[in-house]
Parts: sequence; structure tokens; C-alpha cells
Amino acid sequence: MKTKGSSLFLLFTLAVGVAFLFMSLSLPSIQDKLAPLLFSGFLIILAVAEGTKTFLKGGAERAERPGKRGEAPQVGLSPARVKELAAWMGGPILGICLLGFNVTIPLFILSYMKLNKEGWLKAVVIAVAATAFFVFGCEHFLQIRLYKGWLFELLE
Amino acid sequence: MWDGICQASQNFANPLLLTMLVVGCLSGLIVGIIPAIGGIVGVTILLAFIYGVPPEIGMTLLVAFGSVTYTGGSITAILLSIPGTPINAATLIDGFPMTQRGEGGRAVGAALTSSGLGGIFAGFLALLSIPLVAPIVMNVTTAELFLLVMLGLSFLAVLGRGSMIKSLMSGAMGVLFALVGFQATTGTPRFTFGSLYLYDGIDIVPVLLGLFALSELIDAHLKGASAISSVMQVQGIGQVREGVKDVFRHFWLWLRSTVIGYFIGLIPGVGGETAIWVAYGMAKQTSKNRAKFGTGCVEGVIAPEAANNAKESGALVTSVVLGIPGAAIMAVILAGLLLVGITPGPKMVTEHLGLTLTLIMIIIASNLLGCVLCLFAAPWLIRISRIPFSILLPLVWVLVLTGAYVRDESLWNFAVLILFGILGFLMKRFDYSRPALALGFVLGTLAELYLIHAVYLHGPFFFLRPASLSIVLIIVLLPLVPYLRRVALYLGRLFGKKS
Repeated sequence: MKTKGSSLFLLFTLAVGVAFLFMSLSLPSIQDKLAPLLFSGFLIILAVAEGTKTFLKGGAERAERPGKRGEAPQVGLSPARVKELAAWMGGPILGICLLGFNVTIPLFILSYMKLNKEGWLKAVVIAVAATAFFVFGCEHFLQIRLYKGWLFELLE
Repeated sequence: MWDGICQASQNFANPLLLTMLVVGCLSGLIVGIIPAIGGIVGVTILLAFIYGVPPEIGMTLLVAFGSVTYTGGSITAILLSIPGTPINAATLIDGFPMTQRGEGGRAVGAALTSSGLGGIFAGFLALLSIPLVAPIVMNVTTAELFLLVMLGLSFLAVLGRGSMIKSLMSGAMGVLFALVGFQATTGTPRFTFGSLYLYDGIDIVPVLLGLFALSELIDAHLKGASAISSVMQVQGIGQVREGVKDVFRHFWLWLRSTVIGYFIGLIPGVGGETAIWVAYGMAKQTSKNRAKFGTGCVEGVIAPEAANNAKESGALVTSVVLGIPGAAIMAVILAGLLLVGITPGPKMVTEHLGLTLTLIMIIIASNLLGCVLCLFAAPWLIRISRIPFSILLPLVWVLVLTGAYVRDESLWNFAVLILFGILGFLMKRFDYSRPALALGFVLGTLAELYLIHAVYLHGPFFFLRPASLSIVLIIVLLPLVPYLRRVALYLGRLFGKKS
């Protein structure tokens, strides 16, 4: 499974190189295409070299072993965890788009902490404090207007 | 010169100037700690407050703020794997693994000391070198600038923890992503697929937040909710002291990185990112613990931190003496000079020498103050890493989302954040170098711009100019340093046995 993942990622990098190369060819002037051609060509050569190296060393296993010094995590991707993660990551983004930062920040912090069995008092205090910090810090100190949310903009 | 020194000393005795120094330092540290907001946003906001103020007072606020932003930014890079400013990205490569290993306090101590002392030493270098820098900087052409950027890029091979090919691939991908948007010299939109958002290119803040912060959150979540908090055990003030001592243990590394940072800071347009990566790469290549880099090696924290504050002094000299901004933040500081009625340029070392020396002394003082303040607050700051994951994750995620949004107030930044977060996670999983991609992304546009200028001005063989050739030689020899060292060791053993 991991071997497949690594090979797919290598193919992805190769595809990125090839895509940039072909798109560069249609650019009008040499100034536009010089750097993209140079670097996409370089990427393709390197991807082919890496693929060949892995193949020649019979390195399916070797290629998958996550680094000699262990940067890569030793975890599998269970579908349930991925779904949970997508919900926690995507939820706040959807919330910000619909309800804005001012509503989403406390709601997200509160719900995450409660579902992870933190006490009500702690969850409420942290949610309120974080909201005050972000809203005050951005809108009053840095003069940056945080997004109000699509629904609120619709009501206005 | 003496008149200038006397005037600068007189300025320094002004209580209002000292108040502005403290205000600038404190706000710079706080803004530095908040990811993605960064020094430029902060300095730009402060510009509004200096109009009509005496030059030495107004500029003190701006320069003090800009000098310590990177000191604050190192704290979140080390403790949360979120670079407070893009310049702090190199610090997290070794800083965060140290935190995961329970040595966050030591990393913070080393970073703050290295950063503060680097800024102070570079300030003194600036004082000494003001009469010398103008003729040198005026002789640097686009050919050398391109090769200096390539020097930064050549460190991609050094930065990668595993395969050199994978590191180079990551770097090339970073450069390609940087080329999305309008071409700088012709204005042709490239790789935008008709999207207006992409016309200005992919924003650097969501890219860095995705690559480093979001990918860590994904990883931690998939490992299990308590993965980070269970391994983070910071010992407190004792560790911070140990980190301070580490800087003196690696004194030559610190000195070398400071000097590298200062001199790269002097070169206009190369950018602070080059300075930190060159310092990091140099530290890795010359270290006895080369293999430990990237897994939580304190030398990997000391080198970029020394360079990041040191380059500000160099950039200030070039900016005020030549009127050419040596770094992005310096462009705003130049605007500040114009706002208070001073025109930057050679007159800064004749008519306004007192002000120039005052600004350099402010850099020295604000680095000292910033370093002391942060070291005293470090035991409280490092408690961030003791916060349970159930509290840390939502706070960090909200911080990341806000950071991605505030840069240009676009919701599309979330899409970039997610895409680069997934890319960063996959790169981590399959042992590709995320720092190399970040470096390629940061330097890609500059590399292209200087390449085109160099080819047009000096022809396709621009790299054969004597100054350029020396940089080419360094680029070629750098990846060979480990092999040359092995040969030297082998020869040493061989001759040792014979004798």
C-alpha cells in the first residue's frame, strides 16, 4: 500500500513537471518560457532519475521506508480517521465562509474541546478568550476586517 | 564622523526615543509571535503613526519593530512548527523536532540568544562598515544577483534530509509554483487557468502555513489526539539556560552565520530568506553532526537565527545609504524616511550621518532588549508546548486560518492552504523535503527576474565574469564538501599511518 503511495507521489511530481513543460511551450515570448522550461525540464529529469534509481535497486520496499532519519510518520491512513480529519479541517473553513470568523471561532473551539472531553468552564473561557484575542487583535490593533460571512452579508 | 557619533548619542538620551524603542520592541515581538502577520504588515500599520513626528523618534519606532520581529517569530516555529514569519521557516527544521524530543526550552534559549547576539554584533559591523559598503554594493550586477539566488537554491541539495534527488525535485517544484501569475518583465499571465486570484501568483503565507503547520496538524491528528502533547515535555528555565550556553559552545558557527547574514543583507533584492538558508546550509555542510541535522540539532537552530537578525543591519545600511531596499521590510522603512522628510541615499552618510548612526544603534539596543525580554519570558512562553492537544489543535487551526486570511483578505487562501497542507503531509510521508520546496518557492521569482536581466545585459555567458565565476565555483563546490572532507580524512589517515 505504501509502495503504491510513494510511486503515485513520484508520478504526481512527474505530472507536475510535464504539465508545466507543455503549458510553457504555448507561452508567447522566450522571457515568459525560459525559467519554466528550465525548471520543469530539470524536474522531469530528476523524477525519471529517482524512478530509475528506485526500480534498479529493487527498491519498492526501500523507497517506501520513510527516510533514514525518520521524518515520515509511521501511521496508516484509516478511512474513519481521514473522514474525521476532513470534518475538523473543512468544518471551520465552511463555517467561516458562511458565518464569518466572529461566530465560527468560538463555535469551533467550543465544539472541539467538548468532543474531546474538556470541561464546560474551560471550553467556554478558552473559546471566549481566543475570540476576543483574534477579533480585537485583527480588527482593532491591526485594522484588518475579518470576513463577516456570506449569510450575514446576505442579511445586510 | 565624530559629529555624527555625538549627535547619535544625544538622540539616544531623549526619553521619548527610549519610550519608542520599548514600544517598538514589544509590539515587534508580539507581532512576530503571531504567525503570518509578519513584520511588513506591522511596520506598514506603524507608518500611519509617524507622520509629522521628528525623524529620529518616528524611525526609532519602525526600526525597533522591524529588528525584533524575527526574534519573536522563532518561538512559534520551535514550539508549534508554525513559522511566525517566513524568515523563521529554517528554524523549525531542527527547532520543532527538539520540542518533540522534550528540548523546546533549550531550542528557544539557543534561538533567542543567537538571534539577539547576531543582531547586536551585526549592528557593530554596520557601524564600522558604513564608509566601505557604498562602492562594493554599487558594483554588484544582476548577473551576481542571479548567481547569489542560485547559491541559495544550491543549498536545496544540502537541506534535504534523505535523498538529494528528492530534495532537488522539491526545490524545482517550489520554483515552478512560484512562477504562477504575471511574468514580472512582460506581464504575461502564466499557469493561471483564467483565475483572477492566481494572476498575482500564489501567496506565500498560505503556502508556508500549509506546508509546515497544517501538515503537522494532519500528521498529529492521524497519529492520535495526544501524539504531540505526549512527547512534548519541556523542562523549563534550566533548559533555556542550556540553550544560551549552546550558542557559546558553538561560538564560531554563530559568528560565521552572523557574518553571512550581515553580508547577504547588504546585497539589495536577494532577500532575507537567502541569508538564513545559506547560513543553515553552511552550518550543515561544515558540522561534524551533519547526519543529525533535521532531527533536532541545536546547530540547525543557532545558524539561521544568527543570520536572520544580522541581515537586518546589512539591509538597513544598503537601504539608507543607497536608497535601495535590502529587504522587503526595508522598503517600508524607506517610505517611513520619506514620510518624516528625509531622502534616503548617499546624503545619509554626509548630511544625516547622526540619524544613520542612531538607526544602527537602535538596531543594537532593540536586539539587546528583545533578547532579554524574550529570555525572561521564555519559561512562560515554552508552556505553550505543554497545552493538551485537545486545546492546542483548535487554537492552532484558528490561528492558521486567520493567518492565511489576513494577508490579503481572500477566502481563496484557504484553498491554497489546504492544497499545500495535503502536499506537505504527503511530502513528509514519502520523505521529500518541505523546506526545499519552500525555499524554491521563495526564491523562484527572483531567480527568473535576475536570469532574464543577466542574459540581456551580459549575454548567455554572464557567469564568466570574474565576480560571477567565484560564486559559480562556490555553487559547484558546495555539494562536494562532504566528499572532499572524506578524501581529506582518508588522506590524513593514510599519511598518519605512514609517519
